[in-house]
Amino acid sequence: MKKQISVALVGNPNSGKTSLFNKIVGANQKVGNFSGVTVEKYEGSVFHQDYELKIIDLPGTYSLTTYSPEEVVTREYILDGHPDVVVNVVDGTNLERNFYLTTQLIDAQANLLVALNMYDEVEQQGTKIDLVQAEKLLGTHLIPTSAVNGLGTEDLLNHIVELFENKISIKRNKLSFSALMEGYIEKLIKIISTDEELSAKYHPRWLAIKLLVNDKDVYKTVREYPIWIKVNHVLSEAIEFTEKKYDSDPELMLKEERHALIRGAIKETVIYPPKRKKNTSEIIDSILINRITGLPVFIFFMWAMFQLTFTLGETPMNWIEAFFGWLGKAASLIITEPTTRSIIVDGIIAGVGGVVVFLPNIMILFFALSFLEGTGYMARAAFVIDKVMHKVGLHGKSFIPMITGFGCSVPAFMATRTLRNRSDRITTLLIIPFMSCSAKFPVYILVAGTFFGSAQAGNALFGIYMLGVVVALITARLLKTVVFKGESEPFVMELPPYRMPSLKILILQMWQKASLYLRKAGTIILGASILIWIASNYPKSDEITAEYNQIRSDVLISTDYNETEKSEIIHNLEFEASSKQLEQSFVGQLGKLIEPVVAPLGFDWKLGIALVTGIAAKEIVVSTMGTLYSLGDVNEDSHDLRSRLLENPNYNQAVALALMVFVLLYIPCAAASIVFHKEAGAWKWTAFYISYTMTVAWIMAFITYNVAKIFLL
Amino acid sequence: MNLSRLTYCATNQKVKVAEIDGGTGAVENIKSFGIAIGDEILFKSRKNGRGKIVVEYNNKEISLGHELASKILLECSENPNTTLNHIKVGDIVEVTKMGAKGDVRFRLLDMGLVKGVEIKIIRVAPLGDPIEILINGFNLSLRIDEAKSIEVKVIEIIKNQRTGKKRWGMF
Repeated sequence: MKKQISVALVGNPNSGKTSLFNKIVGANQKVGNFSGVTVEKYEGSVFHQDYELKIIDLPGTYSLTTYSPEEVVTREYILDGHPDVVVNVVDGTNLERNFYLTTQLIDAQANLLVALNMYDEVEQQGTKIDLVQAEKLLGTHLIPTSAVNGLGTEDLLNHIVELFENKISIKRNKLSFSALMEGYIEKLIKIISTDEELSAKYHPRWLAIKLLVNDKDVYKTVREYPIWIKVNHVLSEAIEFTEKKYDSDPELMLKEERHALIRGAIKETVIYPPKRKKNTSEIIDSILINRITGLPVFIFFMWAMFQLTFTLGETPMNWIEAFFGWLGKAASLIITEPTTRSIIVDGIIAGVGGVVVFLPNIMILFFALSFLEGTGYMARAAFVIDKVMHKVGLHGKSFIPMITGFGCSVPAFMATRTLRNRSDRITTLLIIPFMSCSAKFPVYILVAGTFFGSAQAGNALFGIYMLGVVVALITARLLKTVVFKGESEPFVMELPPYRMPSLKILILQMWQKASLYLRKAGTIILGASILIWIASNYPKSDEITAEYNQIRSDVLISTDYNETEKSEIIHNLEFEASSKQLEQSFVGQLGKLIEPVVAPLGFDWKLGIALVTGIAAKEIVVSTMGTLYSLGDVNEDSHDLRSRLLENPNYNQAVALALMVFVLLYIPCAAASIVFHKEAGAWKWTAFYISYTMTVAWIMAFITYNVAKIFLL
Repeated sequence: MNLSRLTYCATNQKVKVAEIDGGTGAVENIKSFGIAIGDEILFKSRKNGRGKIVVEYNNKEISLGHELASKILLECSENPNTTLNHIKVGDIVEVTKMGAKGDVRFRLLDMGLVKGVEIKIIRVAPLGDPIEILINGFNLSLRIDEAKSIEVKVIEIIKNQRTGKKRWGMF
């Protein structure tokens, strides 16, 4: 058994940290979640010398703060996870901003190494960095690396082992602030050191600095200790003095000093080439996001991504459906016992098929998202559309999950992971269901096609999609003003230089998302579809079975019909029997039970049952109606079903509109709801999501029905 | 003598027109208001954000669009102070005070928007908000609302590069 070293990779977003991680550990990695939050956790390991290095790739952050879940995770892991070695990955082409985090890691007394990443670009630019002097100033080793060509990775691993074995050749250093600030820091350290428990847990100097910069979390921690009164006294003194003397505050002064210290260190150690010429990113930006082309280019990219995901995804989806269809048929031939056959074919195989069928969409969408993120266009997309999203209190980045919702809510929910702010994430998750997904389309086609002429059907469809968007925007606005008051994510976002992401990483990330979906959601979705199968097949009424068997045998022995007539009658009888069975199953009972609830919307119990089964998947609404009208396999173009619906005196244009509105707005399918729960991460949000979509659907359908009754009938 | 743009002025200030930063169209346009180089005008008021600017000239009040007003360059004795949201694309400024509050303040400070740092305005988003700036060698975007809370001193006016070039120069 080899000895283990735990290593944490930490760095700014876009510092090439993840590329370096992939270069070091290769495919030997797994993705999971940090407990309690939907922040992805990437772990991998590599053997080096006599050790196994367990490397964890922490989410990118600019500073050790706690404003987003990613930042909390990173900070907690560094402070409380006690990794043996912390490797700070620094973008060598942008030291001024990257060293800000480095200096904070020095404050936190992390066992630190700095990987000077993208060193190939640094050399290309002609920038000269005095490594020896920089190491002396920072008090830590600097290892030039490049994830592109693998430069320095071996050296980095050697240094990790060396650092772990305490063979460091550089004297540790600390950042010295101004005399005034150091005075306050000293005072605070003295007070904190009197508390053994607290100073054993966190480094006193780090606590002192964080208290002075007004860090909410550190405040909360220190407040629990008896020394708080003394600490508070020093802090008030510092605030009062800096305000009176400098018209400033300790936070501002410390941050200004930190930036100044970094600027000084860089001046001392880095020589930039005489003239930085216009770089490629500037040229690309001047084409992609200028005032005239910015919006059309953005719309084109979104359209292209949408088309790729859902058009290109359609072919493999058809294969998957065909495969599971074939598998089901094959299984029904092998298994003769009807109940076992039904549970395996209609329950398990159909259930697994229902999970796997989303895979092409998810993989293509996440490939496209990773590509946009990796090239740097994602930030630009947010930049272009932010004004619109800001109107409803959201961040520009919320746009992508929103439009993905038009295709399918499952990948759309998963795409909210690109949002860093929790309230933005929850709000976006809650409005996605109102973006009409493609599975609802067959229902609209059936209903609109049946009750409205071909000219009006288009208008009705357009109206439905618009209504979804309007409800989504109003919901966002409401949530942002009532629930998440004042919790808007500030739009302070880096527009990173354009880079070409490596295909290997894109494929890896795509596969990680896909496996995450299969593992996390797949199991539960499968369980849910089996449950729905049971509910729509049980209890089985033996009386109905016996009754139909009786009629069947009567027909068979009857001499009134010829053979072809007989087989047709028996065919119809089977559908009638399954209709009766569905009617008295749990699902059917539920449909009848809710009839009083849906009656004000103009729906009868048949529509009630169809809507209940629609929770399994929206397309099922159509096939359930087919079953209930004893028509066997139907699709949205089925003329039989259309004429049956038109014959029913209870149905009219008002009911049709109300039904479309209800289907648009009510709870998405079970698969999507489970993914929602996984992404929202709390039962209270799932409960809110269910009740909110249901309530909105009912109210809007009620209004639609009653208004339409006045105008259309 | 430093140059400034009319849009960077404080209210109730008397200023002298030094130059028109624009093509022949802009020059004609400004002439049509009766304003000529060397004239003294009084800066009266401004509408919030990037709205209209009202100046007094020859006892007449003239209301100018923000874009046009930004093309009138003035002579001034010291570097003018204003807030970041008023700065024209291309100009270089230095932060004098960070007035943002709460979350935004924390983020802006962490990203290096502290007193003394130099900023170049790169572009305004197609819909007019947010803006993109160059700071410490990297590009950052922030909303106009956030830019309003950042007080700046104009360091250098970059005159319109479009003059004499084809329209493609704006890209």
